[in-house]
Amino acid sequence: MNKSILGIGTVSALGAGIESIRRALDGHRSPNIEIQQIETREGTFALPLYRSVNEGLESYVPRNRLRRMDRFLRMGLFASCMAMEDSGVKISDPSRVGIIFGTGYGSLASAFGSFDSLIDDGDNCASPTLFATSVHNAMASNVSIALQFEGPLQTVSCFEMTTWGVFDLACSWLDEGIVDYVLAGVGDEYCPPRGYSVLLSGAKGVRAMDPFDFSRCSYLPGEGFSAFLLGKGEGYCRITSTERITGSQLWQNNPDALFLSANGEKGMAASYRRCMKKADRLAAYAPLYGGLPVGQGFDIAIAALSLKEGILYPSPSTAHNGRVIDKKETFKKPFTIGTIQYDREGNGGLVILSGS
Amino acid sequence: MRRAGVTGLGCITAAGENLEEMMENLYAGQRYPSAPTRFKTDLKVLPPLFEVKKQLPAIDEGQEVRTNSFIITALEEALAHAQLDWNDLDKNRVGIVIGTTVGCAFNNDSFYADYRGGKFPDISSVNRYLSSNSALCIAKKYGIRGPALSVANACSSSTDAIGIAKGWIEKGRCDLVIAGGADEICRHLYLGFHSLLNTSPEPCRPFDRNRKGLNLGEGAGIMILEEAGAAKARGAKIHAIVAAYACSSDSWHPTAPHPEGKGLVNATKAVFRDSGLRPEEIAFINAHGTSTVENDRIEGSVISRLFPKDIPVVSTKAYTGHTLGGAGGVEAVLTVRGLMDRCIPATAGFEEADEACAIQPTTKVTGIRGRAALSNSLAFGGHNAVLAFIGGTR
Repeated sequence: MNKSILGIGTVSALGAGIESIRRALDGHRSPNIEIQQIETREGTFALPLYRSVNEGLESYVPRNRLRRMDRFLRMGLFASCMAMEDSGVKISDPSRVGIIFGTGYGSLASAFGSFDSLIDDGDNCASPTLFATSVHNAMASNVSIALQFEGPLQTVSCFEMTTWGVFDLACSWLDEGIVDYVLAGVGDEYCPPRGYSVLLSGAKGVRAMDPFDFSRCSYLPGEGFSAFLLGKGEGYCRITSTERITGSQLWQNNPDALFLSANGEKGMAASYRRCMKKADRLAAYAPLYGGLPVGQGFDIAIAALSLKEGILYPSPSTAHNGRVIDKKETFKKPFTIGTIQYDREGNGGLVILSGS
Repeated sequence: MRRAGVTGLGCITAAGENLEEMMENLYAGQRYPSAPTRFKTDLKVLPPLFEVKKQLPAIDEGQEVRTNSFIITALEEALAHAQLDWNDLDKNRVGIVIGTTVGCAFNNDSFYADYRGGKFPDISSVNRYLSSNSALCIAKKYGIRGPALSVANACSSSTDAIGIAKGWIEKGRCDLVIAGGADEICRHLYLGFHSLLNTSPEPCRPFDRNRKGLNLGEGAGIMILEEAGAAKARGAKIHAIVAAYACSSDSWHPTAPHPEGKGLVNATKAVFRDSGLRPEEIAFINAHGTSTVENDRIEGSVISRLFPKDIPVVSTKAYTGHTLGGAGGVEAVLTVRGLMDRCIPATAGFEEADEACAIQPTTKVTGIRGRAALSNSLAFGGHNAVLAFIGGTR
């Protein structure tokens, strides 16, 4: 079955919507960076954070219905609303729309807020609202309620393999005819304990991300949500295949271009270095949206935009490698773009998109 | 036509350290709720838990995540039950899907307390969390190179995991899938559920008029699913076929089920449609049966509307507690075991029928008629999942 990306919605440090991504790719928008001051045993250190810009949800959902939704839930709902609007699809049977979301860390603010309520107010006063919203599947449930979709819900959580997992499962649902559409999305948020951990993991002194410099850590944390309406029909592009890559194995069919979701973490360097030979055109866009386990979602959005427009956008980071895209290029269709994100164990999630 | 056959079962819960021990206790009506022993709390009334008392080894150094230890314990039992020669398998054709909630979340409250208290804790617990994703961890340990997925769908996580595994086998993606789930009880979870006012101060009483809520539990339920034709060819016993899996959303409330069980009705009807089974062919239902006022009322009402009046219904949560992300896996294992044994246990704790539930669960060990059974899962957030199994013989 042909499976396409019909609509895209994003919330990130670049702002809201696929247009914010395009403006950044065209060089007309820089990410919103907030400097966090993180205290450690060795002193206080500055950590640049790619802080998402979230304004605009109330144009889709009345404020009173957002009352019990935390910031992370609002991000996902906002991206989902934008994806639906962008697709132009009118849903006639809500029981035929499924939702598959993925997250690496879940709603961190609610989880730690729930801990706060125990520390501050005692065991008898845990916050039920924060506890309920900290559960990983709260996002899918809340979006299903807000958009009144009655098909199946699923939440996947496998750190850097999450985006692959979401798209892989979505393709299965569409192939098996379980639903006609899947609202697929991935997201993660920032919170201070995450910043503390990032700093202690090697990000001290990092001022800018450089994903192609595999010799050092250049990871900076980001947050955001990317949502996609998937289904049959013509949209941005087709989803050609999804594949889990393990160990030193690589894949059979090389895409024309490969977007690496490399984000400056040293632990994945060997994997990304190994796979760079698998395409003639390479890019790494994480310096636009920051580091997060589901960054591949944003790369899929960029790939989809590229395939729709027939344009490869310059990679904000380059390498001493003639194959890295360093200026806008047009291409003729048919054309395939692969996106891949690796974890620290060498697992990779490959998603290949095509435009024709 | 490819079908997903169940060739191996493994389980560990408070009811027993392995499936045989569990079944002995279930058929004897014996259950072991207790106050929490692994963490302290200053709650005045301690809702009982169903804890696994056995000390389990970490699966690897630095991997002291109990959820994963539960999975390994159940998996080893299931592999032995399936009589598989693991080394002979093409690992590119082996997949794993694990349902869990705690297993995907960072729950180390002592790290956070130290962080908040300005004690600048080291991040070893964070690194441990980052390297302990259940499906990926076990895939690494067993050299699995096919698809590997961790599903975090609250109470239906491992029901969904089995459903996903079924699809992978039927579509030819995998020849064998390890499927099921696990969860461990931690302090945050215990207190979080307490804050929702749906835990019972006494051992749970599914479908009983005087039920007061759920008891949390922990453990794992794991199945080995193989392509049925290939399993038969290697001489394996196929204990059941996964005949259908369906799921549907209530789209109603973040924590409460739809008052008329809309999502469960839709999922159950989809199972009938996809499997070709008729309601009267269902030998029994392993209910979600959490013992909360609302779940049991709604689930009972749906069962009474869709099935014959006297269909046997059991809630095995009476013996295991609500094992959250692991519940679907545990209950799927017990459902298949019921088909194998041709009987199901009594629902411990049930004494007096509640008219609002419209059904009465088993009150004694009950022989079953028919070859098919269902296992229901109604998740936090309104997701409903149903599995249908058609039994072989033991």
